[in-house]
Amino acid sequence: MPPEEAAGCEDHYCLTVAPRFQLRRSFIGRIDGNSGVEREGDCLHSRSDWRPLQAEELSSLVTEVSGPGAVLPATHLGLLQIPDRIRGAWWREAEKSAPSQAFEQVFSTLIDFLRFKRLPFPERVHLEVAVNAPNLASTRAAPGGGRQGLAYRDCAAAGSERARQALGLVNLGDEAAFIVLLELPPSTLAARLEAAGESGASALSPDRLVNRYFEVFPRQRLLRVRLEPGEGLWLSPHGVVHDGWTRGKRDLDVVLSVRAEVGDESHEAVEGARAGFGTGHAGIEIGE
Amino acid sequence: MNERFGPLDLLVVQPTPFCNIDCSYCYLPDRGNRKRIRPEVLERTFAWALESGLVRRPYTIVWHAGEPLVLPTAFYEDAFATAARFASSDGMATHAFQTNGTLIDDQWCTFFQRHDIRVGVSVDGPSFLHDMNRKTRSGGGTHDRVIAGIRRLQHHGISFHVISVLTREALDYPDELHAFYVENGIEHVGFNIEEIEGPNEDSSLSVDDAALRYRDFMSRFFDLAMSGDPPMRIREFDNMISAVLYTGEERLLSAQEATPFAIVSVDCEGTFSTFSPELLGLPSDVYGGFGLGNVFRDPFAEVVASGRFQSMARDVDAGIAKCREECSYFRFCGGGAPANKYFENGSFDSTETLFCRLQRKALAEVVLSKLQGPRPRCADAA
Repeated sequence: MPPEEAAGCEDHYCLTVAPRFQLRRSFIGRIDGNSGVEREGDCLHSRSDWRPLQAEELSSLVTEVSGPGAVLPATHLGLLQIPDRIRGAWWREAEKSAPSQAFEQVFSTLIDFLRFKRLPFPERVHLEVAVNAPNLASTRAAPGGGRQGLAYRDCAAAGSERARQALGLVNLGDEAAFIVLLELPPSTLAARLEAAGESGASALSPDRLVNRYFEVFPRQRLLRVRLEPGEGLWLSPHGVVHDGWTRGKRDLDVVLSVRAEVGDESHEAVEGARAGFGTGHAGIEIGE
Repeated sequence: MNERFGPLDLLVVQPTPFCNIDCSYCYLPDRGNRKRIRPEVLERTFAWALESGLVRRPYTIVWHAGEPLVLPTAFYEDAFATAARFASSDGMATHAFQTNGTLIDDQWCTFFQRHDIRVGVSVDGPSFLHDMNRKTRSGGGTHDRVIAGIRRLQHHGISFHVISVLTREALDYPDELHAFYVENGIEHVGFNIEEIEGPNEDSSLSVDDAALRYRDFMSRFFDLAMSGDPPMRIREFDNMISAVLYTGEERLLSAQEATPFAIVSVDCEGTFSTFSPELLGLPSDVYGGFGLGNVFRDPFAEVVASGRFQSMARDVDAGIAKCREECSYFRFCGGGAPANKYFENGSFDSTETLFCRLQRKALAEVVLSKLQGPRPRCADAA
């Protein structure tokens, strides 16, 4: 029995529609699974053997978070939908020949919207729009160029004290976008490695932790989430291993990410996440 | 003596108690009853209004309290002709329909145009909100049929407004509501809140954080509405801005409902009442009912001298006096709606209601904050 199948009872992220959002389409036909990763140099990519999840697989992943005052728990990844007017405003600005101040206004409008919906949100966030060509197995850019591949935290740019981590992703494009992710939080990766005899896994840097995990569990299933235009996925502040996927697309992939800075003592972040899974925002810098 | 009352602004006529749908928050107690108003009742209604001396300026005849469109256009052709026979040189009547929209077709549109009727359509926004409460008797949604009705109005170039009921759930969706109005060419909106009245004995808004959430909703909706070119017209903002900016003598926003005989509501048997239209037909332990008389039997002079009216008017006045004394928002309000006071507090002689907390206090705070300056930037987007 492969080790990734032996270790199947740890905490994992669930998928849900984020509270106070309504989506035109449910989870049926939205989630695929595969048989793990493949390596290209230092980069980890998802394998391309995607298949629709079976009903029982889906039911173990998808839960409802509802009720008065509900907020998206840190244990859940929440689907969301932004208003067409905001996506339209972004495109009107993007199609202008010179960047203008109005971009900031569009982003500010988006932030106001997401805050109104009471998504878990730090005071200071960074918004980035990544435009990628079709037919890529990874869209996650490395600071020095090239691809970072599957990761939950960005590589810190040279000279930068703080790395960033995605809190949410929104498809601004006109065609469906795909987010590839691992439904296990960093604390679970460390716990599984330690259970497999890798002592000190929780002290590994984010990069090393993800790399080591997939070295030990290369057939670990990944999920591929389909996001229609205007739809998004709110991630967990504990960190979600993810990447983009543009294979099979015809148009440019245009994905906005909402990112927050995180402390550079990465092992503390993992420890914090382990201790606080489902209870807080460990590792995410909140406030200026 | 009659100058002390009215003048008549709204004559609310119930052509039938029947409604073809079954909204979960409806205050009408008898909406399965297919009775319809008889021609002689209509004739006496208009005659009574004319004889009362209340018609001293143009007023509106609102066909409501039951779904008016379940009766055929021929009924209204006759009814309008009857109303015209009792027209007063002191005040012309215009006709208005408040409809659930599900029965609007080309024939109705032609009728609306021919008589220059003001049309209000009740729609609660996108289907996931609307169909939560506005259902058929078998529990199905009505949204598709309402939208089809709105399309017919638009096809014929008939202007209309919509009224949307805000429930607790709706307060989470200002952007979705705004997008719905924009996408469907709806330019003029009134927001009612889900109120505690008659058979609707509880409201989803009877929760501790309702005022906060209502304020957040209205604040966001204000920004969305004003971002349009032209801005979307929202009844609540229009009225509150007028009240806030008005610097003359005391002007009361809701004086109409608290002013005796500014509104007269008549049911299909000819029984009439005044103050809030919702009162008609509902029971009252305090007054033995809210009906003040019948258009066949009770002349206006006798009605205003009756013990029931005197008690009701005294309690309404006493409640308003308390509001004036106790509430710093009085100038934006005028003392609240009597029906809300009665059904929430058990008496007209009372003060704050859910309606006050939301549609007056929270709304005034939103409008004041918007008029006082630009909103602060709440995000530092890089």
